Amino acid sequence: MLRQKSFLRLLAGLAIVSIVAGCIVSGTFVIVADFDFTASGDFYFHRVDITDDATWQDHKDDIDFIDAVGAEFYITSTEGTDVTFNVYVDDYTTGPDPITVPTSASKIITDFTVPNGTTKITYKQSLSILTNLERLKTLAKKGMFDYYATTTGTVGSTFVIDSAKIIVTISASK
Amino acid sequence: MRKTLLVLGVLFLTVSMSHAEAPKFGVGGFGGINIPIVQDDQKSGTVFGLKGRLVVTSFLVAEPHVSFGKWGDPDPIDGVNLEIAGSKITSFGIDATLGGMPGKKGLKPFAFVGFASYKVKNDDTAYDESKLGIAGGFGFLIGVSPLLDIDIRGKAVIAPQEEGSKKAVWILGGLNYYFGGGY
Repeated sequence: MLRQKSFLRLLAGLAIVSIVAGCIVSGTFVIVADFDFTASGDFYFHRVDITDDATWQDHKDDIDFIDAVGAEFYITSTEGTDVTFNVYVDDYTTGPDPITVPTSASKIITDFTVPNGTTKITYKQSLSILTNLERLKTLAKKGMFDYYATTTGTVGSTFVIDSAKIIVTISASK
Repeated sequence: MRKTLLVLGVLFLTVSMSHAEAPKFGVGGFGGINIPIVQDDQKSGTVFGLKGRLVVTSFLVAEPHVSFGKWGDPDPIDGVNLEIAGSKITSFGIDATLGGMPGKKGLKPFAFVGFASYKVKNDDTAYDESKLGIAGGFGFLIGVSPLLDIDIRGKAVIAPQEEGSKKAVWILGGLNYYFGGGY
């Protein structure tokens, strides 16, 4: 019985030590990166790159999976009517900025309506309107991807993206 | 789930039938603080649950349990208020407790390890993972009477996910009541 007791004590000790050790080397981290646009007509383009973020740098080689990806936008529209907003993502590219959405891109926001005035799309709201999450998470796990948007508004004068942020939640362990 | 309940039921009956003289089984309720470990998107929340206590040997108690937990809503991160709710964590499983035997008054320290099915779910982010995880910790019982213990324990939980894991520490308090045993 004493041997059994000792074994169980050892087992309990090992389990607790492994739990505590595991706590130290893994976790869930949230990365927030500012996001601005190059706009041309009704077309927006941005190369998203969060790889210079300090949190990303700390965990880039140990990312297990992407828990969530969302965004926050502040938009001012002085259009006479509602503006329809579509967003696409695709693999990161280099070279000249594109002027159209490539066929390989995945649509992640479809026909989101922005009324006249100032609109805030919160992170929580963005989670409920995003689609093609698997593609988005796959791209986010690389830390770099291309972002495209189209609107019915007139860029830069009557429809302005005042600010935007991308929010990526990662789980990482060593 | 059904298979697990069946196994627990058989264990419960076997133990209770083979030790009819002393209090060999009991039930308990517990609740406490649910502290996420290195999870930027969660804050401390609560957890509560129910458990059985089944004496297996003179120093080992099996504790089948079910628990319902929730982490707190996250703080703003880099100026962004995420406005999402904390994730829910539910579990059912069994712990093996070394020490903390029923039927005695006074202070009764114990250590425990166990496994459980942990489900982590967040309605806002659509995150939803269930996997078998492990837990362990220490605590002590205060025997108020041979049939009633106050139960204080700290429990470290590892809930595996797609890869990696979510971790938490639960600081729990509760009551255990025992049946039979000639008291």
